[in-house]
Amino acid sequence: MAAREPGEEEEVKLIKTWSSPYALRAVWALKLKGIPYESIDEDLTHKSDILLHHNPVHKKVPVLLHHGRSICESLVIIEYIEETWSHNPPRLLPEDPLQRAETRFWAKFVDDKALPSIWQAFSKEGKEQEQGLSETAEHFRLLEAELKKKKKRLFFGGEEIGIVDIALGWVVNLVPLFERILGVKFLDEERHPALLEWRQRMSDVDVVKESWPPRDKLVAKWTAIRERCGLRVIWALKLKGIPYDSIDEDLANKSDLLLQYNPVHKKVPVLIHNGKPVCESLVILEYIDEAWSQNPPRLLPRDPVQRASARFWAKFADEKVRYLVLLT
Amino acid sequence: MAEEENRVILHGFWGSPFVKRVEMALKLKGIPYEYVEEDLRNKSPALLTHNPVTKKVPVLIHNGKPVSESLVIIEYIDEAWKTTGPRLLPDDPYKRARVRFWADFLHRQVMEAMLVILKTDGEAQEKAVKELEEKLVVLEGGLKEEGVFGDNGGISAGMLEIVMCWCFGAYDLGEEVLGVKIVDWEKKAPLVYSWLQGIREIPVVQEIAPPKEKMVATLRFIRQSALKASNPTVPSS
Repeated sequence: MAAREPGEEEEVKLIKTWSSPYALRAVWALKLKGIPYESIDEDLTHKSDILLHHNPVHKKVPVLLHHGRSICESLVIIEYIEETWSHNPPRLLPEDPLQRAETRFWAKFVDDKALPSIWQAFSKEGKEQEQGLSETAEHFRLLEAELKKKKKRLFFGGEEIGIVDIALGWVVNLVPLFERILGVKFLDEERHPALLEWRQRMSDVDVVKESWPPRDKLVAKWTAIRERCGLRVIWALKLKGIPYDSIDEDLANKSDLLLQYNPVHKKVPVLIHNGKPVCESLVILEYIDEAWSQNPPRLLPRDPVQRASARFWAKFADEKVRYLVLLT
Repeated sequence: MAEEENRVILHGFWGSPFVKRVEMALKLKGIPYEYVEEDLRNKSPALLTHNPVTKKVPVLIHNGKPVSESLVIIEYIDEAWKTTGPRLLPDDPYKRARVRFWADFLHRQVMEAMLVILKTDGEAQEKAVKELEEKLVVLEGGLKEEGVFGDNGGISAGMLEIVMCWCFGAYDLGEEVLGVKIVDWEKKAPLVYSWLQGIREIPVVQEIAPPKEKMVATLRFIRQSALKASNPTVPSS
C-alpha cells in the first residue's frame, strides 16, 4: 500500500473549501508527504453531488478520495495518510505507542476543547462569551505548558511538525484575526512565549506559507459571521416596517458612540431608540416587539407559556447554529 | 523497578461508560490490570497528577506512564499489546479510518443525543428523540454499506463494538428510567439492533456490567437533577 508501483498513478483527490481550517489540515499533510492530489473546491451553500455522495453522514469537508474510496474527518484523514504512505517522511505521529497516545490526546484536545471554546468566545455574547473567553485562556495555558515540556520546544511533534501542530494551524492565521475583530488578546508574550515562537516557526514552514487562504477574504468572512447577530435586528425592524439609520462599526476601531452606548460589552448590535441604548440581539428583538407592539407581525406570542417556549427555542437555535458556519 | 514491568492500573468510576470501554478492551485482550475506583467528587491525587489536563476518568497507567481519553486508550492498548489477544482495529488503513470515523460519530453525536433525552422532557426531549432516530438511520445505512455487520476487517469484537456497546448497551435501563420505549429500534435500525444484541452477549460485557439497580438509580438521579436545574418555564407535554 505504501510505495507506488512504477508507472501507477495513485489517484488522490481532496474535497475542500477555500477557507475551511479543517480542510487545510489535510492539504498540509498531503503536501508535507509529497503526495500529489487533485483539489475539488466546494461551495457549501450549493453542495456538489460528489460531496454528498462521499460524505453522506456529515456532508462536510474535508473528504479525501483515494482509490475511489472516501475518508472523512480531518484527524482521521491525517492518520490514514500516515498509515498509507508510511514510507514518506516526515512522520506525522511518533512510532512509540505511548507517545502516539499522548499525541492523539492533544489532537483530540484541540478539537474537543480548544476549538469549541474559542468559537464560543467569537460567536456569542454576554455571559456565554465570557465563559468562552475564560475557557480559551485556560486551554492556551495548557497548550503553552505542554509545549514548554518538549525538550527543544520546536513543534508539538518534536523537531518537525506533526499532527498536533497541523491540528493547531488555525492558531497561526485565525487567532490574530479573531483578536482584531473582538478587540481581545488571546496570546501574549508574557503568558505564551513558547506558543508565540511556535507560531512564528509554523508560519515559516514552506507548505504552510504557500497554502493560506487569501487574508482579505478571510477577514471579510469572519467579520460578517461576528456581525450576523446584527442581521436579526435588521430583519425585525424591516418586518415591522420601522425606519432606522444604520451605523456601521469597524470592530477593530470602535467608535466613541458604540463605547458610550454599550460600555459593558462594547459590542454590536446596539439599538438606539430615542437616545436610549438596548444591547444583546435577543433582548433587542423583544424590545422591538414591545415598543412597537401595534406594528404587525408579532415577533413573540401573547400567551405567557408560548412566549416562554418561543424564548426557549430562540436560545436553542442560537446554540445549534454555533458550529454551522465554523465548519465551512 | 521490577514491579513496574507491565503493571497496568485503570482509574475509573463504576458508572462511566467511557471507563467500561477501556475495561472491555483490556479484558478482550486478556490483559491483567488493577482497578482503582475514583470518587468523582473527591478525586485522588494520583488521578489529578496523571491527568492534569481534563482530570477525568478513565486514565490508564502502564509502566507508570498515563494515557487519557477512552478512544485514545483503546488505540494505545491495541498498539502496545499488538501480539496479545485479538486486534481491536483492522490492519488495513482504509478500514481503520472507517472504524475511527464511526467510533467518533457514536462518541460525539449519538452519546450526546442520548444524554439530552435523559436530561429533558416535553418538546426538547421529543426533538432529541427525533435526532437520535435520524442518527440511528444514518448509522444503519452507513454500516450496512461497509459490511460492518459480521465482517469488520476480520474482527468480531473490536473498538467499534466496544463503543457501540457502551453507547447503547444500557438503552433498556434508560427506557426503565423514562418509563417508556424511546426509540423503535427494530423498525428504525434493525441491523444495528441485532448487531447490538450480539455484542451484549459477549461474556466480557456481562462480567463488567455495572449492577442494574444501581445504574437505574443513578440515571434517575441525573435526570431529576437536570430537570430541576433547567428553565422552569420550559413547557412539558
